[in-house]
Amino acid sequence: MKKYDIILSCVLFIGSIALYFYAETFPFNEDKNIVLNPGFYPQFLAIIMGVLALLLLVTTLRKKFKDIENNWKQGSIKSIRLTFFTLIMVIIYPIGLQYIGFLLTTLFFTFVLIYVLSDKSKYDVRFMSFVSFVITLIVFFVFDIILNIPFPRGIF
Amino acid sequence: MEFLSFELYLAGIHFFSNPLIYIYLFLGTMIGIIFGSLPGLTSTMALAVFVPFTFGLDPILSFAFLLAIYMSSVYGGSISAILINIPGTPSAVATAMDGYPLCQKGRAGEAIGVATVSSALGGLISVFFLAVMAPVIADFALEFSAQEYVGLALLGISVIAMISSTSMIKGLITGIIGLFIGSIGLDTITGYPRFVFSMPELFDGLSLIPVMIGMFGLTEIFEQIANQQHLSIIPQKLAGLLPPLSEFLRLKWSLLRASIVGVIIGAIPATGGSVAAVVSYALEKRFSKRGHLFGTGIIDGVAVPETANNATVGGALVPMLTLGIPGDPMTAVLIGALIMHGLRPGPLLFTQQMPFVSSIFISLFLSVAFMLVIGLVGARYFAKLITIPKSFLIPAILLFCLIGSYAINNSIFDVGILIVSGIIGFVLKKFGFPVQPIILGLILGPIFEENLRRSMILSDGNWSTFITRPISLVLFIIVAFVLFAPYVLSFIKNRYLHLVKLIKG
Repeated sequence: MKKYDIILSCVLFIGSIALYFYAETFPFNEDKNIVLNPGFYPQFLAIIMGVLALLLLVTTLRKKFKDIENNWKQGSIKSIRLTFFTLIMVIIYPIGLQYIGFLLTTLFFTFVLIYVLSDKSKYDVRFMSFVSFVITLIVFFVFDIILNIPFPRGIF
Repeated sequence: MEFLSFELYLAGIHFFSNPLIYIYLFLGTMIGIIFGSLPGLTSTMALAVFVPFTFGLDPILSFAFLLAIYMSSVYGGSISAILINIPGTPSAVATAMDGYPLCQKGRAGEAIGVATVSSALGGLISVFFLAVMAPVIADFALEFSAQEYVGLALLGISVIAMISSTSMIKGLITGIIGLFIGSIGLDTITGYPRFVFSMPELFDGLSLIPVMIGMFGLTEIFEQIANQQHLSIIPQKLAGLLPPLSEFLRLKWSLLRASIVGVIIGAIPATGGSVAAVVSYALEKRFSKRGHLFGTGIIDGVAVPETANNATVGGALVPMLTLGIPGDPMTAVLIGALIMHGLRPGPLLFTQQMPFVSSIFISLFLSVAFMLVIGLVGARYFAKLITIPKSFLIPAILLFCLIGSYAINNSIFDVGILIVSGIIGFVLKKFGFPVQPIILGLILGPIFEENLRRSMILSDGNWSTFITRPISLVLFIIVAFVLFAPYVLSFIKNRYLHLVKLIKG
């Protein structure tokens, strides 16, 4: 989308300038070759980024045709909400892993997501629970038994 | 030193009368395919995990086992790349680009079949190359110094920017972002913490795997849910598993090219399957008559990267065996295995342990055969995986991604990185920015900076060193070509057409 590109290229340009000046604060040693200073590389990248951002701006402005690509497909409100929900669950999982424990968290995570994502008319809750159990068991088997990954010990 | 002799190749053949070795080859292949096809479990992880398993085992058997894992896990990544658009391993990054569209067209079985045969072909050719060219390639790779690595890093970024489906500028931008993310952490030379924000976990920089799984795995899943694809099940054409032989014959030069690319890139230390897959895909897209069809779902787009990535296996083993330098992360683990078994990589291996070296060649060769058979027979069953409703598959995959990224360093922080990467990847893709260059930037960034500095030290601050060294010069010319050729060419074309119009009238 043209207007997003324009905004983004400006943001990137400002960002690269900010990055450049932030890297200025890194310690600088006059005696050594410039490359050996910690700030050189970030500044180098910042410059290239700035140039690219400008290029993006220029090419976007010069584009004659409208949206050739539309990445904002028609997702309904429902699917956007679902995505958000999945994200929340994904964030909850490591937290649960630490405080509640591996087995319970995994089971909970799996079941909730399956329930939320499934077409309710096709699968009933019992089947979903069963699959959740199986998946949890498989995962437990692979990671705990076979690979011996030490999980943080929570409740269970 | 004369390494090329028949004694070398046949010295280890007597080991293969032992039926046990075939069992290990089989096991290794199965494990490799399973680990490869599950996003969150990578070839390197599979090898790292199973090396300790081989501790009490005879080195010949151990390496038959490990090499089978290596070879088939590189192939295995294509399965999930094709079926669910998430590369199972980094080397399958390019396979998804045409593999998944093929799957969406209902041709998943065919795609997997092609991937299997191509992988076998690439693997086979690389074994021959390994056996014949080991001394030659090792010599060439020795010439590579810091300056050449700088050129190589630049080449990697440019190439990946080029093949990203959206605009090249956006690809380069994300590439730079990747390079920048790669600089997070303690500066290697001065020890100054860069962009660490007082988080000690970041001192070593961002781990590659969580970022990769996040941007390729989580992002993809979020996208599929957002696009309501979590409900769709595409009925698969499971019959007609392979395209006719004529298709492969048509592709013979492309596949040969891809194998050569794979072997060479594999041989160059630190670059592996993913780089080879991407480069060969880009080359094919640029030079093939069907280049414009790449990305829409054509066999070429699957066959070429799969050939290249399996070809890196043989290639990566060259510097590993002859010099003790890993050609890619997987061979780095294998070096550890060698040492664990009391063997030292290097020229001595070739002179003192000929039977062992020969058994490696033969094991590799056999592992290709196992991979081919199991892959083709199993393609039917792997393709059936897609009929499992996505609503069940997605939580399972998410679990593997989450736990997988935890497992690398036993670190919840890595899981956090995973999640953040997933979010960033999702947002980037929504705005039309490709995600692959970030990963490559993350990999090549440290290599780029370190060697840039080393080049300056070696040349006493003389910047022209990049152009005065012959190999480096060639690399930089290629980079310039990759970056500017499209524009120069279209400019020339426009001028030409303009002239034609003027003349006509």
